[in-house]
Formats: sequence, structure tokens, C-alpha cells
Amino acid sequence: MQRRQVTLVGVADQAQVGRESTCARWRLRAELLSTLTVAQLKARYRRSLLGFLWSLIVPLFQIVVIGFVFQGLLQHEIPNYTIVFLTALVPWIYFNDATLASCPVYLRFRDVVKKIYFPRWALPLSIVSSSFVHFALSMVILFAVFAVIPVRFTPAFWWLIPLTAILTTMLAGLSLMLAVLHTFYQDVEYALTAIIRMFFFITPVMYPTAEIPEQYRYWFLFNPMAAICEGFRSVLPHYELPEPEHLLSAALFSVVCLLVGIAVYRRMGPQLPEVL
Amino acid sequence: MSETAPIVEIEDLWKCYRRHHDRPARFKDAFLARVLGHMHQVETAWAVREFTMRAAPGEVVGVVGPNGCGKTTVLAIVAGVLEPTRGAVRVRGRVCPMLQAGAGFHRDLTGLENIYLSGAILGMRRRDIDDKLDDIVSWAEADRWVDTPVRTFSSGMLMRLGFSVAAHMEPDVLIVDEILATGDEGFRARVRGRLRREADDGRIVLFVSHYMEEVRALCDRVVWMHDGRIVRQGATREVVAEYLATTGAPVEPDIGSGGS
Repeated sequence: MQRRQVTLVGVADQAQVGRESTCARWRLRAELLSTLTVAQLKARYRRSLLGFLWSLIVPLFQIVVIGFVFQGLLQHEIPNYTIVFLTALVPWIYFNDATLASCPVYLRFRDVVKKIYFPRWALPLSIVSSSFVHFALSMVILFAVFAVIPVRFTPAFWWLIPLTAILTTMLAGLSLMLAVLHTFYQDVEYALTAIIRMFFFITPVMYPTAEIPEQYRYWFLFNPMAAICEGFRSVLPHYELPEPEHLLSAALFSVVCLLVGIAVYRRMGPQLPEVL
Repeated sequence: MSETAPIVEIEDLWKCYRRHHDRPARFKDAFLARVLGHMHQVETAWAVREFTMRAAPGEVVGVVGPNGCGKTTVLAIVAGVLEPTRGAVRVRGRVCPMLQAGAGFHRDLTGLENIYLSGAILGMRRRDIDDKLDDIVSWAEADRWVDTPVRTFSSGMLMRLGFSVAAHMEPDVLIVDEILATGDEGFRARVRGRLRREADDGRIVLFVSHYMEEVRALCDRVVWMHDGRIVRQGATREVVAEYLATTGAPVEPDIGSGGS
């Protein structure tokens, strides 16, 4: 019954001329993503004196507090606590920042989304990529700390690359999903805050997995973030990579996240200008 | 510029918004609605009905009508932002919608950084922006403040900069939806001149305004909409005169024109 047809000849993606090759169109998208990323990064620290340093001061402060509670108050001795904590905290903060910041992204750019046809997925993904830049800088600092401690460079360090890839894939999917869903239902962000807080405790961030009673430890590491954080720790002496099935399930989970994210975006994305 | 001339053809366009009477904004509401049956009625509101229009290269087409008559919806469909419920829309060429003052700008970034940001969203290559940067800045007369964060800009300055970015991306179809309201008369005259020139270069300009003086000065043709339908379309002079007659405004627009 209903005739529905829009022919936007030549209004391929960004109102670009249709004769342009797919390659040129992807280059344009990549440029959009990088411009958005740079804009997010600049805006984030433009009005603060210490800039990027804040993203180090906050976790360090956290380490001092939690370290004091564990070591000082609870008299629970974990060797090299600071470095053990910090190594897992870096990927955790990446996860935390990227997911939470993705939620309000369409609301913030609502004027643009309502008026201009452009690849809207670039908005949540630019959140992930700007969080990734922070993550990368934090890793540089972490490596500097390793050099001072000193932690010897071992083949285990190579594992950081696939682990980061797994985490980033997961975040790309989650951020697409969360950004779209939050636009429809604005309690996504509240729920997410609560869930993340809970996960912070059941993920071995402020304690190593060795602290978990042995009978639970195996199942505990099926939490993808647990596998990732513990994986990051495997660069430290006396720490080991989680079992292959843990890493595989984390990888599988991240791919599922990405696919679900794309599906949600495909299905609900076109309605964004109407609900905003 | 494309070898093929830009085209905007709209044939029997219908657009319905499903106005969930109170669209559940939270899970709780959505859940309650599910459980308690149809608590929120889904009302279908036709924003645009039987809309047929065609614009040829070189034309400035004005769209007039009272608030809420569907002008913006039609233009959002032309821009590809909204999907039509029914009907055929054929657009050939790069469409560039001009945004309201400051929309798409990041408050804490400088004017310069914002030029790159909104240029990228509009689909401009970075090196094209590099090439046109001086023109964009000087057209907006923003040389003096382009290095400061846009949150310190006045709304007129924001509008000038926003318009300048959009105007320099060489679009085939320009959509100007009531963005000039905050501009002074000098700037509005400059914009009219610019839009006229764009049209004379073979582009299409779709122009929404409540200032009938402006519409008369600029548009070749006018589409008068009311309640989602086209009341009349045709030569500017007659359609505007008829429209004004129905609004009860003496001769000039109801809000008062910026010039006088």
C-alpha cells in the first residue's frame, strides 16, 4: 500500500557527490571521525589548568585511598599493590569513560543530527577513539612506571595488543548501542552508572584475581572485563594470563557487542532525528 | 561542481510522525505502558500531506507558512535526515542545510576549530577547508575573534560564521531554514546577495523565512504551506500577497521586518 521512496542521487553519505569512489567516501568518514575525536579531546581539557594530568591524578588519588584501606586499615598485604592496581586500572578507566560518555552524545549534538545527514555512528565512535587516546597516553605513563620499578620486558607484553583490540571492539559496540538507546530512554545512563559500579567490585581491578577463593576463580574470569584486566596484569612478574577459554569468551563477547551495536544502530538510528 | 545539474523533485510526499502521546522517556514508562495496555495512545500526526514540488537549477524557492505547518519537515526530508512515510523524493547533488546560529559548534572550541568541526560534519575534506579558510573567516568578518572560544561570540557572530562555513562548501542544494533571524539588516542583505549568486551559478536554494520582505526580494517562486499541505505555489508576488492577506497582517509581516 505505502509507497516509500527516497532517491538521493549523489547524496551518498555526507551529501557528497555520488560519483566519488567508495575509497574517497571512507576517507571522508575517517576524517570526520578524526576531526570529531580531536574536538572532543580539545574541548575536554580546554578549560582546565592541568589538562591531561587530571586523568592521571584522579586514578592516583584512587590508588592512594584504596591502597590505604586495603593495606593500612584491613592489614591485607598485597605485594607491590600500587603497580598491581594501576595496571588493571588503566583498561578499566578506558572502559568506564568510553561507555559513560557515549550515552549523551546524540543529545549533545542534537541540532546537527536533526538537520544534517551525516554518518551518525561517527559520534559515539569518536567518544571511543578519544577515550582510546587517553588510554594510550596512560599506557605510556604506565610503561614509564614499569621502567622505574623496574618490570622487565617479557613476551607477555605482546598480549597487550590483542587485549586492547578486544576491549576496543567491545567498546565500539557498546558505545553505538548505548548512545542510540540512551537517546530513546534516558535512564540508560543511570542504569549504566549503577552496573559499572557493581562491575568495578566483581572485576579484579582493586584486587588481583589471586584474592578470589580458588573454587570461584575459574568462573569469575568469564567476566570479559575480568579476563581483560587480569590479562593486562600478566605483564607483571608472578601474574599469569587467564586461561585461553577466558580470553576466547571475552573476544567472542566483544564481537557480539559490536554486532549488536551495529544492529541497534541500523534499526533505531534512522529514527534518531525524530526522537531527539 | 557536478556536470549534472542539481535537482530537487518531490512527488506526493506524506510524512507522519507517530506522536506517542507521551513517548515513554524512561524504561519505567515503557514498561508500565506494556503492562497496563495502551496507556499512551499512539497518535499519528500527518506533518506533511500531498506535497509535490520541483525546483530547477538556478531557482530560489521560498517556503512560507505559519509555525508548525511542516516547512522544516519537508526540508529535513530533502536533506535526507528524515524518511518520508510515503512519496518520492529525488535529490541530485550535495545538499547543505544551514544551521541555526551556533548549532553544531562546540562552545569551548575556538572559531577556527569549529570551522573544521562543522566543515567535517557537512562533508568537507580537511584540505578543502584549509584552502577556503581565509575566505570563510573574512566572509564572516570574524578575523578578530576567530581564535577565541565561540562561547564568547554573540549570536550574530555565531550565525555569520556558521553561514560562512556552509556557504563555502559549494553545495548544489542549499537549505536556509529561518536562520537569519538574529542577523542585522546589513548581514541579511549580504546573505541574500550570496544566495542569489549561488542560484545564478546553477544551484538550488530552498529558503524559509517569516520575513515576507525578504522572501519577495529573493525568491523566484514561493510555496505556501498550511497544516502540512500546499495551499498555493507560484510566482512570489501573488503567493506572498495572498498569504499575507490570510494572516491578517496589514501589508508587512506580522513580526515586523528587521529593516524598518
